[in-house]
Amino acid sequence: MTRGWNVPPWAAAPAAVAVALAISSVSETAGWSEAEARLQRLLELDTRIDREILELRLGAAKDYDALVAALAESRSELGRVADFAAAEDVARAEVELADRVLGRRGAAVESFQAANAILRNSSAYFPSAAHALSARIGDAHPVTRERISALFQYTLEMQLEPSDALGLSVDRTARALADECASLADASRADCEAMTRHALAILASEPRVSAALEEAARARGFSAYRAIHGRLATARAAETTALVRARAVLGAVAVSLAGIVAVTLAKLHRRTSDLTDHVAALVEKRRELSDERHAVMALNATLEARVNERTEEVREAHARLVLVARKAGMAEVATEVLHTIGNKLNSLNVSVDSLRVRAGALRVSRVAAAARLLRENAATIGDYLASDPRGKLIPGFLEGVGADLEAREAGILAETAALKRLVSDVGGLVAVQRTHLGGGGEQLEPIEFLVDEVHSAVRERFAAEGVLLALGDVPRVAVSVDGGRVAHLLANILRHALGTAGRDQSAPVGGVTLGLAVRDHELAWTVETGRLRLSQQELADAFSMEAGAEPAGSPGSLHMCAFLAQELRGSLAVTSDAHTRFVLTHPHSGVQPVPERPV
Amino acid sequence: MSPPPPPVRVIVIDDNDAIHQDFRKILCAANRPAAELEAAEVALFGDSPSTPGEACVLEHARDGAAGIEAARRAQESGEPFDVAFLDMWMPGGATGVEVARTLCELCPQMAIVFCSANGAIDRRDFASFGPARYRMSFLAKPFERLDVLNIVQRARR
Repeated sequence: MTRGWNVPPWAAAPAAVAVALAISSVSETAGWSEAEARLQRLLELDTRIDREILELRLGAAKDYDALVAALAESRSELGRVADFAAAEDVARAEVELADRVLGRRGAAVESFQAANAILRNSSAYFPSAAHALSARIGDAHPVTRERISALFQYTLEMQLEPSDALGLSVDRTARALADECASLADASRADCEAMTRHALAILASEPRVSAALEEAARARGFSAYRAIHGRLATARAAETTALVRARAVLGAVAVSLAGIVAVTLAKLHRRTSDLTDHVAALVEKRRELSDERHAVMALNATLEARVNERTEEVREAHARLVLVARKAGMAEVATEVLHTIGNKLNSLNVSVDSLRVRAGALRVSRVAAAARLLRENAATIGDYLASDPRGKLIPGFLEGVGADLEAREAGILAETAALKRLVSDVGGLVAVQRTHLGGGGEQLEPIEFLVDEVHSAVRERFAAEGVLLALGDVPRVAVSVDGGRVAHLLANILRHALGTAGRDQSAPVGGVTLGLAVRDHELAWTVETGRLRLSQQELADAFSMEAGAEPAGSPGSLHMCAFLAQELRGSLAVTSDAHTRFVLTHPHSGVQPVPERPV
Repeated sequence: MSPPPPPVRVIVIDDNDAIHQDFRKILCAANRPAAELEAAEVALFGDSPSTPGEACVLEHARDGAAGIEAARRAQESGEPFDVAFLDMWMPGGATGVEVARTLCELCPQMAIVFCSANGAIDRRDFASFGPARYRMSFLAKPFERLDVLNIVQRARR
């Protein structure tokens, strides 16, 4: 788990490696030991220089090459130490002091070398010059000869054991001899001058050599070198302490990281173990799933079969639903029709009431009473009507009653006609509803069958009215139409035609003819009445909602017929000139010939 | 002889012409014979079977808006309607209940008679009418002549 960690656990491993590398890289600065070795060498060289100088002072040394070499090596070593100290920024003052001391010693040695060179040169030439001069002057200049011998003696003694007295003697003797040299012959004089010059040079160099050696002996680097060593040791100890601390910290970090790595490894191990278990479980689960998949596939096959069955059932249910929806639509129409019927019934109710009231006001009983009065006074009817107070009122009364009856009769007839129209309208509305409920939908209908159906529906009515119904040529084809509605509508039109024909009681009726024209996309039915012409008002009345010539139970006004024609996506037209013609056109969805009947 | 009572003022609000015709037949029928005939009848037989009809002033409106406008005019002219026969359901426009709400505000004394061929009304529609509800009644279609006459007579009282 990574909860509470800032870095992922796997990062501990490279961190631990990095720390280990850091620890390994944390070590003492490389130059410490070398610097200490160089200081040690400087101390040794310093001791050697001291010994060489001492030997020179004691005259034991033959040369001073070793001294010069030791000085050169000391300069080199000190230079290296100085570089290290500058790099580490430590013991700078001590190094400068040592450098100055070594410089003093070097300068002293150089002074020694210069003075010693003069001393050696003069010391080398002085004896031979003394001997040559002594030999040259011989006994001719005894004083000079004595003085030469003294100078020679003083110089040798001074070289062996210098002292101020000897130096003074040499100086005095040499100067005295120099004064005497002028009196000597040329060759001797040159030798004399050379001898005195060498004696004075020896006299002058000898203290310089001693002083230089003394200065060189004093300029010891030992203390300076020890001081440098002390500084370096202190710095080194501090660095070592810091190193130890750093290593301790890094060690602690390394231990922590190692712990983290260990814990992480342990967790990884545990996770690996868990994962192994999970993988095993998954493998087992996969096997189970495979088994279940096969089971599901088998179940799916079963389900598919059932779905197919159910789909078929759903299709059937859908068909039933379509039928129910159609019926629901019909119910909607029925609600509207019932509402209209309700209003018609209201008017019908009021008409009946009105008729009852009018009938009650007919004064039939009063006419009968007047008749009784006339019969009772029949013998004296003349006097009775002329002079009897009541009899005189009877003619006027009867006249008034007659006029009243005529008016009331007209009202009753009008009310009756209205009642008849109402009943007709209700019948038409019921027929519309019946048509909606009974519609069988569009299907292939042989024309002959349709015409037979229409004929059988109206045959009795025509026979009862004594009107001939003639059928035109019936084509032997079948058409795709809603045969039930078409037959119903045609029967209604024929009934109207019959009613129209029945209006003209005076003229002979030539019958009614039903004809049909089959066109590409529609049928045109014609119903013609013979020799009867309707006025425009009659046509308007025939089409009005209120008009109706049919008896109770018949399909209602032509308005209803036109409505039914529109429902068939067709139209109904009526014209009247020499005769009245009803033309019903409506579309069909196809025509097929009807095979000939077998003979 | 006391003067005849003023005629009852009636308005019919309905979209169906036949219903208007029905109200005309009931409320405006000329049932009385000529005065001479009636007098001769009384002289001959001592009485006349004629029954006096209700004296009505009848106006017609084909929808709610026309009915409201007619009622406003009548109210402003000082001859408000006594009774309104109001169809519950008319195509388009306001329903009978909505028209009644306006009529109640316009004509505080007018009796409102809801007419419906659906047999019943939802009484919850009238909950918000308050006291005006007691001026309302219901006339189911198909109605009888006497029902209409009774309502009109009641309005006269």
